[in-house]
Amino acid sequence: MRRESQPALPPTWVMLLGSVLIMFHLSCALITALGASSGPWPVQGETYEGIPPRFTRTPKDLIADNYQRLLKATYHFHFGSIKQEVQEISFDAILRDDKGAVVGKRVFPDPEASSAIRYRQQMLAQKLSDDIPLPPQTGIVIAPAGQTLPTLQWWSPDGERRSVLKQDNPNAVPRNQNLMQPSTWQYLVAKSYERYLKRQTSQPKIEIIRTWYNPVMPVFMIDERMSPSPEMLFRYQSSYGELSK
Amino acid sequence: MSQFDPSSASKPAGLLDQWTQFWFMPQQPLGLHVLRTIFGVLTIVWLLSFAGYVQDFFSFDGWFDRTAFSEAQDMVDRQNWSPLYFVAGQPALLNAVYWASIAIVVCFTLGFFTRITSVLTWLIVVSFSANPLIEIDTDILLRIIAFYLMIGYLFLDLQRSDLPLWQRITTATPHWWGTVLKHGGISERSTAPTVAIRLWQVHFALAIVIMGLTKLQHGEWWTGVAYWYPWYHPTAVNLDMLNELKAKPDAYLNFISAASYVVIAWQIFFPAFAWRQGICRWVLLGGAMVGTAGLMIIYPIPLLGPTFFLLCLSYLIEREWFLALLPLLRLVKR
Repeated sequence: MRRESQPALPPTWVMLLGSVLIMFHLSCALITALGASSGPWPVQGETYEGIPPRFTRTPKDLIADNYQRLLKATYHFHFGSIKQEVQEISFDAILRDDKGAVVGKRVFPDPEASSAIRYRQQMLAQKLSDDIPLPPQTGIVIAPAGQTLPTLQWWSPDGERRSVLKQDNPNAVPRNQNLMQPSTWQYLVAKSYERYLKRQTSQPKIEIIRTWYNPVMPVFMIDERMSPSPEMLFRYQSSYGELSK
Repeated sequence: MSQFDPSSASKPAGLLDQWTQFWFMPQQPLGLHVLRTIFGVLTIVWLLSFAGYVQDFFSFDGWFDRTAFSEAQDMVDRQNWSPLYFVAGQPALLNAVYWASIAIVVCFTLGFFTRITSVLTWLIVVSFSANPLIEIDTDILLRIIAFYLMIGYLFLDLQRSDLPLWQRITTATPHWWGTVLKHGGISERSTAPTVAIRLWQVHFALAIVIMGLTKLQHGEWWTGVAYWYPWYHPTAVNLDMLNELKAKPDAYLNFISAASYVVIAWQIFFPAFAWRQGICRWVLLGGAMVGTAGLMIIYPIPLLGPTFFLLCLSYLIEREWFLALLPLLRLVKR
């Protein structure tokens, strides 16, 4: 093996310019990573997302986000997969003809699909998680003259471990109940997938039924007084009904 | 074989010297070529996994359709631009772009026209990872690797005096593995691979530390039961299994809780050993191998394990690449 002498460094102006670009690029990556929300943190019995440190806000909003948008090379690295204690979600799409008769069914994730596709399908199904609490409704709401009341959504119990999505004005919401509603993102995804299936199958009515299991908490392994119970493996279902009727 | 021995280099005197040597010391591009090849193979497999589902994933009539995109404008990460949107409304063209993309990545992997194919490969990776519904960890990491490989190959060989101008601009064949091996892995030194790989290393080190710190925001990692959940998800267990586990919890809980803490420690202290030689090399590569195996066994995220291993390989230095490839180089020489 022949030894070489120490190779020459590039010209000074190249190194100067390069150094400035490197520092800018990595600073943007750092600001993006530090400027992400943290948590969720438990606060007084509820969970909240922690806001990013204040010093990151201006450089992130003004520079790092725009630069990141161009390059798509920076990310905050708070990967969703780091959180392990999550619900397991799947969904069925029931295809109906115009008389309401069931003519087919799609299962997501599809057990017949390849593992890579099944994982992507699982990602889609997981987007149907994260229900959010519906603020309690009090009193009777009257719409301003010439306007209509807003439409609210909530999951209404419909048998054992089953619920259906109701949509109505605030006066129709049951009082004194802790109700949940789908998040905006979740509802948007469900509607988009319903439209996709309608285009694919030409069936006029499609009902999306979400199935989920709560994570099996290992607390029974740690606490000697507890033992596994059937409730740990209960299946829950909720129907979005016909989303775009 | 002609090789620069870093031990013969003058020791950097001050902070400025250390900075310039770290970022700009010219090096053989062999490591960059190996990283490109592994990345190329991974990207081809990643792209092929979309076969048959291109319309579902990327068309404006797919799972996340045009209406959803317009409704979600404020919610979707603003970085989700994609050249694919230009053809997302035309199914035949979308399919054609998909198969052409695979052909381009094959060319990049083999080392043809790398200045051009590196840019196209980056565009391909950002395009086929732009659906916010199905983005996975692997997509994010592949985007970062593609970007830094593009930086490396954009500037590599620009000043080579032994190549005609057209070859310097297109880099038609010099990075093809046949050519690289024929010359014993030796090429003209360049600062481009140093800058590209250093950026990759620093960015990945930042990512690893942030991942470690993010784990500390979740109770299941503090409790040491994070690995419980992927093993015992509700549709994979029954009451009998849980009762069996309950009967002898200690060995299992000790193992998974210790494993959780080792992973967090490896991640948080990653920058302390990633650039060092000696025993630290074993900590890096041992951790990379165990981590890759763990990711492949525990998590079903496609290609995450091999991508993680590739990212860790970037810390190998020039001498180590030559040592690792020595049997292959000797074989070709014969």
